Amino acid sequence: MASRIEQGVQRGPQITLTVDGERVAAWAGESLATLLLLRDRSAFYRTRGGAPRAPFCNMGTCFECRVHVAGRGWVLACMSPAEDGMEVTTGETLPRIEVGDGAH
Amino acid sequence: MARTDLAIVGAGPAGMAAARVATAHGLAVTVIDEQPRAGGQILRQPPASFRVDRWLADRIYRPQQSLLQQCAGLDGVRWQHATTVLGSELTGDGITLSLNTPGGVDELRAERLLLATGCHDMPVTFPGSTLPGVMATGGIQAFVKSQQIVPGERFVFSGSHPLQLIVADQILQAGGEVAAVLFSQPRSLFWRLLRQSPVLLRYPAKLLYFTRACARLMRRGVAIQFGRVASSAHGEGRLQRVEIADSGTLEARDTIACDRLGIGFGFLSNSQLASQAGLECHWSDSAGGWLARTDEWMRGSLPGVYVAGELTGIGGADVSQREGEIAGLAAAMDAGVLAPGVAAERARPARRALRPLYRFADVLSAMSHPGAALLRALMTRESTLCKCEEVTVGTVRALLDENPFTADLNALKLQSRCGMGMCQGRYCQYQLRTLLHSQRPDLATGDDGFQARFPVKPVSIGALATTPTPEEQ
Amino acid sequence: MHCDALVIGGGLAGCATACYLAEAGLSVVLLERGEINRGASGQNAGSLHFQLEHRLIHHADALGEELQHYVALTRVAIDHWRNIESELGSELELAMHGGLMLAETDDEIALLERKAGIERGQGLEVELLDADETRARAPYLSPQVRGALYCPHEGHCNPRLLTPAYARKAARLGAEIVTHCTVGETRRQGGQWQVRGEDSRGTRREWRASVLVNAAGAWTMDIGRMANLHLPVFPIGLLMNATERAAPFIHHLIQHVGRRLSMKQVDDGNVLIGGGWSARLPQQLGQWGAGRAAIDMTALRNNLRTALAVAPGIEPLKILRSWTGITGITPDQLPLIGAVSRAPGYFVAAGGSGFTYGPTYARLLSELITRGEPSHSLAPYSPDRFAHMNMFMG
Repeated sequence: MASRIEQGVQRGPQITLTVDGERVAAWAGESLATLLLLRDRSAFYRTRGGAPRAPFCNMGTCFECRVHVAGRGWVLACMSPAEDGMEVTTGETLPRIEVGDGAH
Repeated sequence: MARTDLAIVGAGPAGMAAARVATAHGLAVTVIDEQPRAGGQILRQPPASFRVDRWLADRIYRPQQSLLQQCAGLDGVRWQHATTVLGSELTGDGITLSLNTPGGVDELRAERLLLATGCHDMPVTFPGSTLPGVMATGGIQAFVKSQQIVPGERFVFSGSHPLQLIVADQILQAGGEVAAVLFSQPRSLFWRLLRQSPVLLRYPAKLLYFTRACARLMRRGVAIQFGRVASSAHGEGRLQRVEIADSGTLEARDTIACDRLGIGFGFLSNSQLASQAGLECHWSDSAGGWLARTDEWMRGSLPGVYVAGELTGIGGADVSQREGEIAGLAAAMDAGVLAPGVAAERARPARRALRPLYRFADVLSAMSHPGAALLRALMTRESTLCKCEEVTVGTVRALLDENPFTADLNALKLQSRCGMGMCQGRYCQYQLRTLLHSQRPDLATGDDGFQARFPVKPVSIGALATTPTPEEQ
Repeated sequence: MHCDALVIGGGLAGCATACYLAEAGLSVVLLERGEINRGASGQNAGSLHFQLEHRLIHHADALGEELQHYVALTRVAIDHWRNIESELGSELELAMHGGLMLAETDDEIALLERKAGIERGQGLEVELLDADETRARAPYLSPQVRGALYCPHEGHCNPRLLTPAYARKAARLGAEIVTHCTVGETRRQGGQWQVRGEDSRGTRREWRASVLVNAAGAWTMDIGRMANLHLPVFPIGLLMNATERAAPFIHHLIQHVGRRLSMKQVDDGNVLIGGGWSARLPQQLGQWGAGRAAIDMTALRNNLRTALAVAPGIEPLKILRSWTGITGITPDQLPLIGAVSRAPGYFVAAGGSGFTYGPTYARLLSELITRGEPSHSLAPYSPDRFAHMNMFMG
């Protein structure tokens, strides 16, 4: 499990968001990847074959840290700062398309 | 559409140095970077709201720290952060960049373009390489440098690049546990290179930095092993242990429990924008994969396009910074605001510094490369070659056996789906190429790489479709 | 070296023709400048569109009777596709779950009705759907869609897999496939075709064959010139887009009768969007240059806007890549398939919905070559309809 470095580090304002429905506090500027590693998540997303995947590069090139954010679809957790009120879901597989109300 | 004289992609040492020089000669400069703050990977800054004591205080970071400070005070540079360049379009009278910004897709019209896109850790395929907990060593380091976290509890580092020592040391100092640091090369290689390459001694600060890290690791009882490699990663849904093997025979020697495995076999350039633009590139096994060709003014093969830093060959921050200076001068000279004689004069210190730096980089690249034999041996049939499309090494081998006339990388990509997924081949091209060359030893075809396509990173249909067309602007 | 038939071009037309000729017992050599399937055959989006397309319907008056021949050929092609996986012994990700040709205006509905008349007249099954029936089958479609023409046979096949499968089978049947060989000369000598080629190492090779098949796709005209022939096939650059994978939601091939659109979701989950939006061909000093066609950003946006207009739900899906391909088109849009009378032993297979009809063209052409008569008439597509262009070619 990951942990914050406390010595010699002052963090700014605190924010609150939800991860898989649970309310979570974070420091402004922390990436979603940081937050999820601190929460010990290992399946950021799952492949079509069901395999769990988690951050590899931490710089926006490997696309292994995809997580779902309400209203935005998937984002790269390593490139996305946590924001107040964000709703994050981990372990998702394929995006689902809203098909509208059809003929009903 | 916004306009600029010089668009610089990448706010690392090369991009910052070019911005500083070009703006000093009166060019309007726009620097675009995906990260929220300038500095590149070498100075991956903590969030603006953090205060970190003695952040990257070692003297080896000084040239870049001072550049970062200078850049903070520059007028005439527009810093466009949290923005991805999706592609460029070269027309007769300039360059149009397509940008994915936090506010949507936008375009930027530039007279000139500098690609200073840097590099990423070289991925390596082995059984378990996609297991959560297996991370790039540079990625681990960025968590420490920028996010100020220790991204795990017990670390093993496996690779061939000396950066491993630095990161392992940083993890120790930050309170993590380092179970082992493995180098695939024999220890004798390092001694031999030290003796045979006097250029290394020109940079005592760098040597000292590595030596100190090494000494601290040893003092804390960390095993630094040579001729060893993590040959497979295991665990239920996440990394729990790695198997350590002899790097020559891959014979298993040990199993170590850990929750993080750092992979540190060197770096590959971020060449996708260069490829998408159509810049001429050449291949290097040990210095970064696809590298853009430049002339002595860092001009690429297309008019108005310059290249500096790792994309011309992995060379480190000092090389990047000096190349950036030259590129900045070249852009000013080609724009007609700096006389060629004066530009040549001003480029002289950078050129003088670069000569030994290039020699140093060559030694480092040669020393740090794991070698094709090890990479091939690690790629067992069941290991995942293309992680995005979940294509195994065995599948690709079978395709090559069944299709004897398939002999180029793009044809193999088309048949195997390798490189057609989310990362667009960044994490499988090197291995696929290694595999292709090992099964087609008589390969006579052109040295063709994956053709990078617009957009070089995925972008939503909604964002692309709503960008106004030129007629609508 | 001597062989019965020499095929130039390693795309679908070339590989499939080589395969059928080898199957008929001919000794076959196929020459390809680069790699198998690297041109339009591998770069197209893999639609199987059996309904008359947008590009043909809009020129229905000019094409007249030819369209009826075309629809008749469609029925042959449908039967061929139904058996193609077993014929080739390969999985090709073939899906024939039907296709919808959409209409948004009264005029477009009228066009669909007229089109349905031509198609039914030739025995092609089509069904006119109103707005509710359309959305009952494809609930992701926008309420703007007023109706559609449904053809139960349409679908898609993976273009990455089809041509290599033909090449493998051809090789199994004894055909020699020579890649990275650039043809430099084709000459008629002593009742045979003499062909010179050079490989990437600069080694020259020479073949003699009684039959020469020009299957060079967008470069048919260049190869034709080597035999002193004008074969009017003009290159066009086309744009395609692929999204990330999504859970299955599009089950049909979607086209539009009034707008340039083709959209489908493949087995892997990616949505492919195209429909005939142009890409800029490379130019050099007034000639078509080498290399790939460039993306026209305006065309790209308009292509995506068209797709969004009929399927608004795709908005959050990410585009993984947009790419271009170069295909060939003839002056009358119909394919160029058959013998060139003034050049004995010279055959052409090019142009005209080359993916959907490619396997069928190749089979019929091989029948023409080996038996003198194809099992379904190729007369409307004969290169001899442009014989006047070769009257003065000495």
